[in-house]
Amino acid sequence: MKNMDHYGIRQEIRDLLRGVAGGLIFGTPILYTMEVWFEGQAFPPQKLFFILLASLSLNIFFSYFAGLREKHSSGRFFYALDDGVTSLGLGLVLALFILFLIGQLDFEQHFLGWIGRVIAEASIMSLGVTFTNFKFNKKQSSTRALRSIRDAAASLLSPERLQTRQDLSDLFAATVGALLFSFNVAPTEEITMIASNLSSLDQGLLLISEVIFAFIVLYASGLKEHVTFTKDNFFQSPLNETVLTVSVSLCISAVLISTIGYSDTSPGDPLFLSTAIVLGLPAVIGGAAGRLVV
Amino acid sequence: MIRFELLGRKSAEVASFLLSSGIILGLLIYLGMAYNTQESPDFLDMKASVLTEKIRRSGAHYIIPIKLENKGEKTPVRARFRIEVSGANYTIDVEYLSRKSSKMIYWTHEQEVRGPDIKVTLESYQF
Repeated sequence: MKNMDHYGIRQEIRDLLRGVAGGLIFGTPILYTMEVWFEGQAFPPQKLFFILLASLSLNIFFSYFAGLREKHSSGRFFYALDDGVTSLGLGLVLALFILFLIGQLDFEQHFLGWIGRVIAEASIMSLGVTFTNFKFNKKQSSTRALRSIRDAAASLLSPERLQTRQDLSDLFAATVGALLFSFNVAPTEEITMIASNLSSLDQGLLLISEVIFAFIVLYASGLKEHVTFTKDNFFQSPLNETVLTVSVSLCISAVLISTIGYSDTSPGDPLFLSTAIVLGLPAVIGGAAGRLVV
Repeated sequence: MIRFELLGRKSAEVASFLLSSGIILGLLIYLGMAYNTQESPDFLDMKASVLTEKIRRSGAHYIIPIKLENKGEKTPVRARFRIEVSGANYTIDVEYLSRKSSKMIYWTHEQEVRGPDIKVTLESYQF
C-alpha cells in the first residue's frame, strides 16, 4: 500500500489533517475572541503586512525544531522552510473557513477588513499547526497504546471488562476535554453574538463541521492509536466514537450555556440551541483532544 | 520542483508548499499595493442618514432606521454620534465600523418622528 503512494498524496493528506487537528486544538479559543476580529479588521495594510511576515518567520523558525509533517526531521533548514510555509498557508485557510462558519466574514465589508480578521487569527492558528509534532508524538502514542495492552494482559481481566474500562475512560476523557476547552469560553459575549447572527442553515453547517473536525482529530489525522480488546466493539468504531464524542461535548456545551452562559436562555428557547451549537465547536475539539491523551 | 524532489520531497508535498507560497505571496503583494494606494487621512469620512421612509410604529414606540457609512480608508475603534430628535439630544457609540462599509442601527422613540425632526451627526471618533 505504501509503495502505491508514488506522489505522496496519501501521506500529504494525512500530514495536512494532522496540521488541521493541531491548529484547531491550539487556535479554537482565539477564534472566539472578538477583540482579535475587530483589531484585525481595523489594522492598516502595512501592519497586516508585517504581521504576516512575522508569522512566516516564526513558523519557519519553530518548524526548525518542531514541524508539521510526520517524517519531519528537525535541525534542517529546507524541512523548516517547507513545513513553516505550509503551516502558515494551512492556518490561513483554516482561519478563513472557521470565521466563515461562525459568520464573522461579512462579504459586504471591504476586502481588506476581512483579510485583516483572517490574518490576525491565522497568525495564532498556524503556530498550532507548526507545533503538531511536539503535541502529538506518534512514538509516544504508540508506546502509550502498547503499554495499555501490556497492562491489560497482566491484569487477568476478561476482554469484555477491559473493553468496558477502555470505553469508560474514553468517555471520561471526552467529558473532561470538552469541559476544559469550553468552560472559559461559555460565559463570554461572543457565543451569544455569533449565535444570534446564525441562520438555521448556518447552524446546520457548523454542526456538520463539528462532526467532521471530531473525526479528523480522532481518526483521519492518525494521531491516536486506538486500542480495542474485543472484536466488533460498538464504541470503538470510527463513526460511533466520533458521534459519541460530539454528543458528549454538545451535552457539556448545553449544560454550560444554561448555567454560566452570557445570555439568559433556557432549553426550548431558539437561542439556546444556537448558542449550544456555537459553544459546541470548542467543546467538540476539546472532547476529541481529551480522547487523544488516554 | 525537481530540486525539492531531490531533497526527498514528493509531488504532493511540493504542491502544498507551492500553493501555500502562492497564498502568502498573493496576500503580501495585495497588502503592499493597498498600502501604496491608501490615502490615509486622519479624518474620518463617515456619513449618517436617517431612512425616514422606513420609520415604523411598533407598539408604543417608533423605530427609526439610521444608516451609518464609513467611506474612508480607516476603521475607527469608536465613533460617537449625536442624535437630535424632537428637541432632545442623545449620543450613541459605534465600535469598529470597518473601512468602506455600512451598518444599520435602529433607534426607538416614544413620539412620532418625521424627516426634519431628526438629525444624526458624527460627534467624535478614535482610531
